[in-house]
Amino acid sequence: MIALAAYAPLIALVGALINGIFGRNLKEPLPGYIASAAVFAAFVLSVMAFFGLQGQEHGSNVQLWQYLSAGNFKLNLAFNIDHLAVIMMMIITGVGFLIHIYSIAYMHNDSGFSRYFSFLNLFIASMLILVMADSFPLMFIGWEGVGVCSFLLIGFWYGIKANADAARKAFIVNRIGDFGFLLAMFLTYKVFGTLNIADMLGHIQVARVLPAGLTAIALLYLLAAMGKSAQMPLHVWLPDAMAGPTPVSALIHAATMVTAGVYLIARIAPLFAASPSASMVVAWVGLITAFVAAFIALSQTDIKRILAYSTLSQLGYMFVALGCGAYWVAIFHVFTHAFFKALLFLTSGSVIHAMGGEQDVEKMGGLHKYMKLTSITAFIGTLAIAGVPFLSGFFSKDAILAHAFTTTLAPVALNYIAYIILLVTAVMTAFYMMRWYYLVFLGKERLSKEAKAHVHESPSLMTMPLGVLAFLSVVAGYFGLPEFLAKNQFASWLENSIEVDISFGHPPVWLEWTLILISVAAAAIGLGLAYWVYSRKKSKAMLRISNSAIAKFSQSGAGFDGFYNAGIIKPAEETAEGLALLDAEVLDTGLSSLALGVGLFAGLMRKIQTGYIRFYALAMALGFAVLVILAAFWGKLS
Amino acid sequence: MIDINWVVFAPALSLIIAASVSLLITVFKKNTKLSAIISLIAVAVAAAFNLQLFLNRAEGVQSSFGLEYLADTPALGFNFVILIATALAILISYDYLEKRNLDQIEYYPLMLLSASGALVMVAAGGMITLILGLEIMSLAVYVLAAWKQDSPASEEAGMKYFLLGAFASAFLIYGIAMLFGATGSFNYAAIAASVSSDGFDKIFYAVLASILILVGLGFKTAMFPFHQWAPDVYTGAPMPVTAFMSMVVKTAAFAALFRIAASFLLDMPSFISQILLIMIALTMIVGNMGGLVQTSLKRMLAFSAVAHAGYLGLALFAAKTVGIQAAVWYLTAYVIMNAGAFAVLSLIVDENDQADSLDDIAGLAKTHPALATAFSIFLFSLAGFPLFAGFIGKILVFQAAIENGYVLVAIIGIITSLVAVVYYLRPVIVMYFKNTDNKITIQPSMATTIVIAVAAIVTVLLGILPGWWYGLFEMGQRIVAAG
Repeated sequence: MIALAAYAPLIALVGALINGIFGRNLKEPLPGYIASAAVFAAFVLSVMAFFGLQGQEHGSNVQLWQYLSAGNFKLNLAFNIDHLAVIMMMIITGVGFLIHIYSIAYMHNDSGFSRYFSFLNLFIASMLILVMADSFPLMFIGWEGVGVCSFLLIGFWYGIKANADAARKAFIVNRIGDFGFLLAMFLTYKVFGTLNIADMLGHIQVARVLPAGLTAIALLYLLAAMGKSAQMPLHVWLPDAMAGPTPVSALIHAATMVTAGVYLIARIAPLFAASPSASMVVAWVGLITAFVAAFIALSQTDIKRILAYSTLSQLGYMFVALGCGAYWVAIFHVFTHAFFKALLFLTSGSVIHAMGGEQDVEKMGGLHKYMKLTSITAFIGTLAIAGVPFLSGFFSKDAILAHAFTTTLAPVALNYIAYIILLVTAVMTAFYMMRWYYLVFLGKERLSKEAKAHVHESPSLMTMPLGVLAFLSVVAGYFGLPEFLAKNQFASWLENSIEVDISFGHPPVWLEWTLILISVAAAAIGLGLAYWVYSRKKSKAMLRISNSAIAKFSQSGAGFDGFYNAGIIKPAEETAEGLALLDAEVLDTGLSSLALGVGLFAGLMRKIQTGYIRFYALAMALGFAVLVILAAFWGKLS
Repeated sequence: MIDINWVVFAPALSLIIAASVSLLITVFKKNTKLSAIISLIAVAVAAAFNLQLFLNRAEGVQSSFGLEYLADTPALGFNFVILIATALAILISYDYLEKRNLDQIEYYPLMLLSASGALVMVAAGGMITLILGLEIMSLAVYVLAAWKQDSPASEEAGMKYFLLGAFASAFLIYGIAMLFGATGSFNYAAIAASVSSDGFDKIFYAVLASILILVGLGFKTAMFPFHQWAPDVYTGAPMPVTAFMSMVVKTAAFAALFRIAASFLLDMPSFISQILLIMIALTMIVGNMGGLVQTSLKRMLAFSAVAHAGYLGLALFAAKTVGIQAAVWYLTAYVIMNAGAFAVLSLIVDENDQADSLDDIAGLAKTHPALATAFSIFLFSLAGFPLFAGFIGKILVFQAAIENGYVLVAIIGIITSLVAVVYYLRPVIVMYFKNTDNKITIQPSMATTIVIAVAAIVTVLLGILPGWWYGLFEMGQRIVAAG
């Protein structure tokens, strides 16, 4: 039953091929249904694997085929369907299925309809390979596959230059992370002599590897994870990636692909657990990203960009959890975040759809009365991410805060600094989400005439997924209740896959309750403050927080793009121009003489290739003579 | 006492019988297509016999005529390659001959006879069997190369091949005679035992004989400096015959060379290996440099065939260990991608095999996207790109050379294969990116289309699933001629 899930990527791949090859000849909704059916089948297989794993201690290793075994070079391709993988598989295919359905309506009348679904299926297949792989090379195939799909889908409307640029930016920045992945693999093979993940993790405990070696490998994998999960300073591609269709942003750039980095680190958790210094770097990367991204999100005006920065910030939370050694918590947040963030993106897609393509929140407002379903589900998502009690985001975020407070992996002082930064970030999160919701759905209508004529509730094909995701955003948290309240299903489930021995402090119950109350207070302060601020502002210009320098800094994305432009892109361009000059002046001359040499040699060959039989026979005889002379010569020497 | 094990001989025998039968039948009813179908069936029967032998290979080496005719794992592996190549060549010929009025009834019987000679060569456990197989194979191919009687180029190709082939055979036979003089035997196992025995004092003759044999087989495998006939003959001969020569003749000659290398050549004083090394390095360089300056695609593939002989030669150094396994793999990949490339060309060229320049395929991607895709797959694979069959082949032969300490020649191989990318990818660029109003007319052919489709799929499959076919021919240490 578990092994059947190995077919899940294949099914998605077949769906991609059908749409890719025959899609152009299929009538419009059909490619969408084919693709959705493929993902649904993959989802069913994943759920079957989930039930198959109940009560099992180990996952199921499914051998696909031995790629090649020649001498020392052996490469087995196999899937490892274990407790961790199956959670990711269900997220990918479950959320993926809902987004496929949603897309059928969203991409209605698009000229690239079948191409879109072909890419989306290919993405699901690649992402499944990524999470199911039992060796780094196979994971890398999935890793690159999702990167390519992300590139293709960001630049889906490639006719517009900005979209194509955004796609390229995503691809290039991701290459830095991929480079880290490659180096990490080389070093892994050098140090451990294997590229199988389970074997490598087994060696960590047995073999004596220098801590510096472990840290180096861990940091290289971290670089890979930072690229894919858009952690600062490699985050710049994600806000631009919003150029893609909104369902793509929901699936790839919120729910699944960007969490691949978190998954990677959780998958090789023993490596990081064995290297406290690498873990500390992970935690700090996460802290900085969580805080700065939330700060930037405060002042963005694009409905999707706000959510993009929010995603960055939430990914930062996950990295903090990883850095603290609370690996199950990170995956738990991946799990809840997948629902509420996909929900938020899909509601914003619904809004953009209703507004005829408008994305500026300053030109929205008061949409609640036009699209009640979208508004209500968006509100649930907002509350969930803000950390309002009894919704999913509350439990996972609170778990991160609690574990940051009590971890023993990182040095002591970090605990409280981390906790405070995360708390402030939580206030900001609640603030910018309430701002987002208020500016879009409440307050005064600031719609343009065309938009007002156009605005309508989205078709049921779009609102149905919203309902399902809203429901999941409410209940998903109950799988991971705090340990002192109830048995934590999520943690005990993942214990089978993530075998690390990291202890956390056990504060008294009153302190636990205090921490929870502080979290609740943070959410309440953020939400209340935002409502208070924005319900007071009347004019359009007032919508921005203020014109202070700090607000401008936030609006500019904390200056990252400016810095990269001035510090990397400009110099690179200038260097490229210089090199072009060098190329033209020096290299071309050199190359032409080289080409001349090759040409002369080839000309000589041609001259020898006379076509006369007598000449060829002579050449053979001469060749023989030379060989005999060589033999005689060497024979004497040896 | 002569023991004749007919089962061991069955694959070659079924080809010979089919050749005779189809000649007899076509005397009464001139129908080359019928002849082609009989030939295909014969190849399938031969393959079935071969499979039967292959499945029984665990029961020890099967042989006939003493140890002169072997059906061990290497032989059976090369047999499969030859039979696949023959079937592909027959399919490429199927419509090609008729369109050009070349459909005389002797064509397919000659091809079968040549293939049967190749099988005998592969199976040879001694020098006499080798020379017998070589001549059966070659005589038929000489005729096929000159098949296009109204074309001077084809006649010239046949004549050239015949004269130079006879010249090379003379070297080979002289070498065999000298080796017999030195060791007193024609049988590989006996020669190997004699050469490596303590009291062996005729090393001078053995070395000279080895060089003579290298010349003879170097000619058939088209290795430098005995390669010069190949571009001319490949260009002059009709397209399917060129494909047949570059696949079947090469495979058989390499099979013989591998067996000789595993038996005694590598045990000779080390400078024999060094001579081989120089031949291989220069073959790779000359073949790829030659390919670089061609404008005719057919001629480019001819030089490519020379270059690939060099890469295959790298595996010779590991003939005693993994070399033969690697060579079987490489030849399988080579045969399939090469057959595909020639099949594509056979659709594009005009009546006289002309119009195969780069300009003639410009814009093929627009008019015939499927054909352009397939051709690109073959070219990428020939160039050795990952995920295609050719890539794994190159990895295997480079690994074989490096593991046996021949690093420098492997590096030369890697560099030359980088150079080769230039001429392999040039047609791809021209097909896809050159703006042209070229109206390309192709000559539709069901049989050739099947070849292209199957070859394209297998090229990709072998690239993704190399372990399967490679693992089948695991031979361990026991590939030295049985004795």
